[in-house]
Amino acid sequence: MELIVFSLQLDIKRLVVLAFASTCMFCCAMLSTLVASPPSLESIEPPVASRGATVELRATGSSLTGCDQVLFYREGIECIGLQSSSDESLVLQLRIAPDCPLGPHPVRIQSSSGLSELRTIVVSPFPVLMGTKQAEPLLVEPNTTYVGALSGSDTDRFRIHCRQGEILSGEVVAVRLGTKLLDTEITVMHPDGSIACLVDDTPLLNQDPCFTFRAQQTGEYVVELRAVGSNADSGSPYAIHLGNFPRPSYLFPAGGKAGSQIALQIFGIHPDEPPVETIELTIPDASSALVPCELERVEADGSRRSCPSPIMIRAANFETATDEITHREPPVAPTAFHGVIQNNGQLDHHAFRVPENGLWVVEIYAETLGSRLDSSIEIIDTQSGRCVAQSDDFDSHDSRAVFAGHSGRIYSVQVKDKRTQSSPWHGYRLEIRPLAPKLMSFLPRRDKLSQTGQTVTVPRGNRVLAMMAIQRNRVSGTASLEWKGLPPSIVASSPNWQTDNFALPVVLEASTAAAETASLVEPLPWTEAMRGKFVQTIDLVRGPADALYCASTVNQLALSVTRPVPYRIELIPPANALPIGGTLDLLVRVEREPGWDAPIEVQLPLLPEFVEAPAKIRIESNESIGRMTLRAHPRAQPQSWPLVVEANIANRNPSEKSMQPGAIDIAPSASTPLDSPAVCSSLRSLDILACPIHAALDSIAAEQGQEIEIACTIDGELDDTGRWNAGLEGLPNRVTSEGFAIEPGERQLRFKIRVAEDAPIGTFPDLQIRLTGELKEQPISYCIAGKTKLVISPPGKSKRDEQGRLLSPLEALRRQRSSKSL
Amino acid sequence: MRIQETRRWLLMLVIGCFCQLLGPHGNARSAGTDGFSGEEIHGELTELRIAPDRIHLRSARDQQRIVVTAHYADGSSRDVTAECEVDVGQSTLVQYLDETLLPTHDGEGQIIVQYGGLAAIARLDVLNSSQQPPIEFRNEVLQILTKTGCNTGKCHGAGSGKDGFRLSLFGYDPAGDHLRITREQNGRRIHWNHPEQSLLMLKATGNVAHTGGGPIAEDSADYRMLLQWIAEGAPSDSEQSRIVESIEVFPKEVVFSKPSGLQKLVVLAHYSDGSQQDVTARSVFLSNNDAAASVDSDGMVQANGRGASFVLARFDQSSSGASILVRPGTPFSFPEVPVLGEIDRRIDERLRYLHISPSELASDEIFLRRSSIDLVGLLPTEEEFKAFLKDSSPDKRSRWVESLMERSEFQDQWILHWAELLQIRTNNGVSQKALLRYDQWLRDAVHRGMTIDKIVRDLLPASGGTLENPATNYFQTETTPQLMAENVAQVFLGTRIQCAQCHNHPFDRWTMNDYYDFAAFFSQIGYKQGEDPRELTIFNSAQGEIIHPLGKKGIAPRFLGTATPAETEGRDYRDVLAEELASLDNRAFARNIANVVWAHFFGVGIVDPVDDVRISNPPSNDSLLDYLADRLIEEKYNLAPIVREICNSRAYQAQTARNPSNALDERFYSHQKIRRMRAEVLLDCVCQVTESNERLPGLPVGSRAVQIADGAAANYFLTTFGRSNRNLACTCETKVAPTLSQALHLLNGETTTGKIAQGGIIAQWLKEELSPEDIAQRLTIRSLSRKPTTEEMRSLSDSLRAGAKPAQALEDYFWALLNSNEFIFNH
Repeated sequence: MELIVFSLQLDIKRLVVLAFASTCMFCCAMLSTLVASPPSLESIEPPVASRGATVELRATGSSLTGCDQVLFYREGIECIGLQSSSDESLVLQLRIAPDCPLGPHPVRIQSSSGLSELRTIVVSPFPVLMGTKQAEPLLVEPNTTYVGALSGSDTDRFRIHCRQGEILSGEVVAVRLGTKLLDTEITVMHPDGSIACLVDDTPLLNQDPCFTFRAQQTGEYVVELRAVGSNADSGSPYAIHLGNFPRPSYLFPAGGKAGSQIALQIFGIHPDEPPVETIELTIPDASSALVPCELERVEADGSRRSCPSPIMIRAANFETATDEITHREPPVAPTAFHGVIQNNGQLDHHAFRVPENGLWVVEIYAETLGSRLDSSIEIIDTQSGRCVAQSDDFDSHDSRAVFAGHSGRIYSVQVKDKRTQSSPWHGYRLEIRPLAPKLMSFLPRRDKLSQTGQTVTVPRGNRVLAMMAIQRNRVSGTASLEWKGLPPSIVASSPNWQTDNFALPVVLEASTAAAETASLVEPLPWTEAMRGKFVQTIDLVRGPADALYCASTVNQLALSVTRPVPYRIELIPPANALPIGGTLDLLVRVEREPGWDAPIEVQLPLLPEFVEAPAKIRIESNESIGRMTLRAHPRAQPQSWPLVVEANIANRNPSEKSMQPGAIDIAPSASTPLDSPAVCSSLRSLDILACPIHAALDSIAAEQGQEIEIACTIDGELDDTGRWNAGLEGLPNRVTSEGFAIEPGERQLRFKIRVAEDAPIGTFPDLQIRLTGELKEQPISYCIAGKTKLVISPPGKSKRDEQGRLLSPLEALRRQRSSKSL
Repeated sequence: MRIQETRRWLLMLVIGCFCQLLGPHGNARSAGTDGFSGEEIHGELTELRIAPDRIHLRSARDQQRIVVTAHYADGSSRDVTAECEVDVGQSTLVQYLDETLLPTHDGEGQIIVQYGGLAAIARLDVLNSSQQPPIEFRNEVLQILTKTGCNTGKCHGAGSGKDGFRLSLFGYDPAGDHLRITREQNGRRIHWNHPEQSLLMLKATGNVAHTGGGPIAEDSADYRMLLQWIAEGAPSDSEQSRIVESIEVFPKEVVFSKPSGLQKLVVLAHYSDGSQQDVTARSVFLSNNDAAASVDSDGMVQANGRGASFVLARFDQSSSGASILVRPGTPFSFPEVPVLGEIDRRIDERLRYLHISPSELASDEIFLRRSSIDLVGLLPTEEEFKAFLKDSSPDKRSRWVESLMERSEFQDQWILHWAELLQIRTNNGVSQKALLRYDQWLRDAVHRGMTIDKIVRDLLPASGGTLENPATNYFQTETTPQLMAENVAQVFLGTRIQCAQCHNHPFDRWTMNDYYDFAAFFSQIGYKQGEDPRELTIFNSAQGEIIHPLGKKGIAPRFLGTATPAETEGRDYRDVLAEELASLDNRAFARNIANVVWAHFFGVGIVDPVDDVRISNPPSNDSLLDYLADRLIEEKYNLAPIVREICNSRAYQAQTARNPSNALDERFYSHQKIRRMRAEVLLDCVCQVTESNERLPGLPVGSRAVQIADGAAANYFLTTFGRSNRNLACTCETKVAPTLSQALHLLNGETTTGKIAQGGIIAQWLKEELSPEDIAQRLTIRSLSRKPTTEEMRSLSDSLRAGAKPAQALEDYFWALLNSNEFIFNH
């Protein structure tokens, strides 16, 4: 028996222990779902891969365990394996297609916790050689990409053999790797030791130097690479392409008609030197856009030698005017001109005819395509001789002007260098084209120069909020979003953008059956008139003074479905409109997973002008409903407003205050949900309407120690289905008035005001009546008879008429005189 | 601070040796050693002068004070006005009263003064002697207010005025002052019916409460003049009214032969209508060296002690002055000293005049060390020391100078100078990359042999990106036309025009017009962002102008000191400025550069500070400065020939030790000056002798401190020792005054002990089995460019005998050497 008892006792103890252990395990499991961080991708080594090769790259970062997907924004790279050796390291096996586009390929890594930052992998046309530090210059074969790293005052040196008359080219990819601000300079030495060139910044590649020249001597040229100022950050990576490939420092002309073939002059080191070579290039098929082109030279043996990085070329859907045309008759717009400011103070004139009335754009493409021209333009109406438009800088040093053209009239564009400088590198492309409308959607940045909030992560079975913005130029009307590539398991809902809307909430909801994967989607804006595109610029390298040195622009939004979170929230649809001047309580319901009871913080991320709400409310562990009071200022406008609430897990201990701006959070407390994504409610609509009832209240006068009664009548439709209380607001200290319930149908309100003997004397202008009640089970209040004036005087000093109304001093004086005369 | 006993003893020893080396007058400024007994010995009277020698009196109110000066064979002069006989002639043109001529009748005549058997004549003409012209507001009323100090900065001339009444500082805005006196506050300052009841008069005499008391006595001429002006209706000047163009001070030069001598000064104003007037009574006088001679408000100069002084007189917006010299009247004969060139000849000429004997030539050791520090910023090596001493040829010093000038370190010295003047540092938006480019641009230019005038010609009109054309970074240092103009004037002309931004310069010739006209050269500079976020593009916008605060009108560019605007039509203003500024015809530029070069080798400029050229700060030897400027122009601003000539002069090679006659000379180059090495050079020398390295910001290991590109780069040693951080375009940024923190740093910091350990030369030499005595000798030679004294060697031996380990004893010895003044100072 004892044994049995003992056994029972043991079982009970065991049960308790087991229950406690299982609870702990559950909590840990729950916590793990909350604290698992999305992967962070710090770097990829090597950051360069050879076209046509299968390579293994090592990704370094944090939370890399469990990553199972790589997102590529461009075609040409395929991930054939992912192997995580630790939480900080991941091996990517990639297959680079033989026709993979050259240049940087943006990538992200996905795990069930979310998406990493965007990084780039640069695709080179040449074999990639990994760097090792050597005392002697490293001998490299022509047309090789060497990947290395510089620290401090390191100088990496290379030898490359070249025959007299051959082209020797080099290109550094350092800042453009998108990791660090490694500003490099190159010194190339002839075989006899003399300096062939010293290159720092280049017009086409900015901080990354490049060179190309025809060798004057046969032998080994030495190329030295170092950081400018010998101050490279520790282990700053770079890649250098060396060989005999075409590599313009500057090229001309910078564009042409899409599909046409142009002879591109490739300039080398110095503006005063003639072009190193000329290469035929077919302009890609694009309509009025800057497009990347692969520059290839066809060798004598028929092989092709590619420039390691694509060059940017302006492709247009109209012809470029030639001298022959312009001498006969001004070309008809749309058209383009090419020119070079060869002499100091040179002023180029280009005449064209406008075929129809309308707005026309005159735009220079120069500095943005590597030219040294700092353009300034004037458009002259040749008929009147008047300047109809002018421009100096527009976003860059390039000029852009819009003017209203008259059908058949000839205009002339004057182009000059603002700094009155000149050189063969002062070339430009001038385009005259009709002003085209523009429509673009994007994700507004949460933080300057950071990748924060540039992806969307939806927990499975839940909703998240994405604030999307639309930029439009000459596109009016209602705009909507069309989600291209959105997985069927995700539903996006958003209001329509009216012409004056900028950013609006978009709610993305993943079904419980959604797969935990990532995809690239295109939230494309559209109106009846046109379809736009999505644009996202991701900052990669920042420098001093918040300057941006390298960014990646993509047209797709990275979206991933992650593991579920143990709660959902819902905003109970408002049953009433928010009256202007009044209040309305919103109710938020939280649904927690069984066994999970953390407090929730809720906030309203988007409110209309002159409507206030608490910064956030807290729904405690034992609560499921939160109440959030909206208050409409009298200046609020009647409108319908999309409403959504966003929630996050709150600190267990309310006394743990959130971080103050500027504070240094060295060690977040254990209860802080580090990486739990915010979830949101469904999209609701809030109507803001003018207050349906009114009352008129004259100015009130009272004396210290007095008790007075005032009355007013409610006008308008007060819903008697609700229960209403009336009260006075805006009374000064020691002046009181008790509120009272309004009987159904009652419209006359009488307030008793008690003024204490020591109540403050003066005029108090903000007296108002507030009717508070509950309508359709939703707390609401109306503000009526606002801005009533209460005047408190010392005993015997106030003047009132027979009805008790306050008299102005002048009126009181008149009455006093008239009574005396009588 | 805790110094080991051995080290302290050694330190005292080395300092003692240094004091011996300097001699009894090494750095002294003791009284009673200059031979100035106060005895007045004039010698023969050689000349009698009357000033002014042409006297024009144009109204009954005009009067002319005269001053008669006797000049003696020893070069001294004496005011004998009160003692001489004055003969105004038979005519009754003037009345001579209290050394002043008062007009009585119109006509022409002459005045004859006689003294000591000599006579002097002044011509005289009198017109309108019976007419009282109206009182002139600017030339008379305003000058009374200036003289009494009403419009100084601490009184009503303050920016916001004083007690509700504002005047322009020193009367730079006569029209505004007239308005404020007569019209402001409903004209309450003037009582038109009862002028004596005017608030202006009541305040001026202190008859009503006035913070400034009653500066004008009721019975004074100034009071009467103010009263008369109000009685006449307090008129303003018409546009045709004459204005002062210049003033002259008589006598221009005074040489006192004893303290307490007195000399009256007379100030003559020359007006725009060609007339002249005695304005002594309304002029303000200031002395720049009261210890030598002071001046009272009436223009009476009193000799106080040996030395030179410059007495400035200011009237209206013009300044001029008289050079005052106080020297002993004892018999003086200039010693037989070698004259090694024109520099010495001109210095000797001045020294003769001053009765100062130059010091002897310095020894070979001292010359070797001094020239090496000055020319290349490093100490001579042991090998150089031995070879130089061994060389007995007479031209070895010249050859040594030549060899130093051929070294690249010679250029580095001047790069450092120019970099400081151009304020090359990371600030005001100058990025690290732009800074490096800027520094490299200057370095390349100097090493390519570009002279400073060519650098200026490249710099001032520079256009383009700050990375693309590094010279454009100059326009990031300051970005307003006013500040740029101030910097350019100070750096390239040695002239501080800052005062003239708000008012006419009180101690110089520069007016607000000069200031804004000059600033207009920078009024069309355009700025725009470059391609690189760190890059700013500077260009000629060819539009815009600067507005003169008085009159609010746009103005045309005009060079300082010229009368007409520059020819800028269709040109970049800066281009025009650079051309003029660095022109071979611009003597101000040449004199400034010559002065900068000279100051480098003597520690004090001929005009000192070198960037404060003004009337009231005249050169100590104008002839020498002129000669050096001429030479620079001849050599097209190639510094090398001038430097060569300076270093080969006796003046440069003179001892720092002084003799009784030059004990107080600080500016006439009768001896060399003991100069603390500038911070960068000192650090380089410490590294050199210890064979150690200093990790310098932005430079590879092994670089020298003089090569630091960024003036803002942090280095504790350099900051402590007063390196210029290039914040201002002022030579005062570089400080060479010794401070306690410097001494503490050398005694306790890592720079001495740490570098001795880092270099490890003592350990190395001990390893090579050199004797402690040999090592001590080598250390002394490389540190002090001399062999150790017997006493020093004995101290080392004593230390070793006392049981100290050789390495420790030698390290202490080395430490003491590096802490000695003899090491830290160039002497």
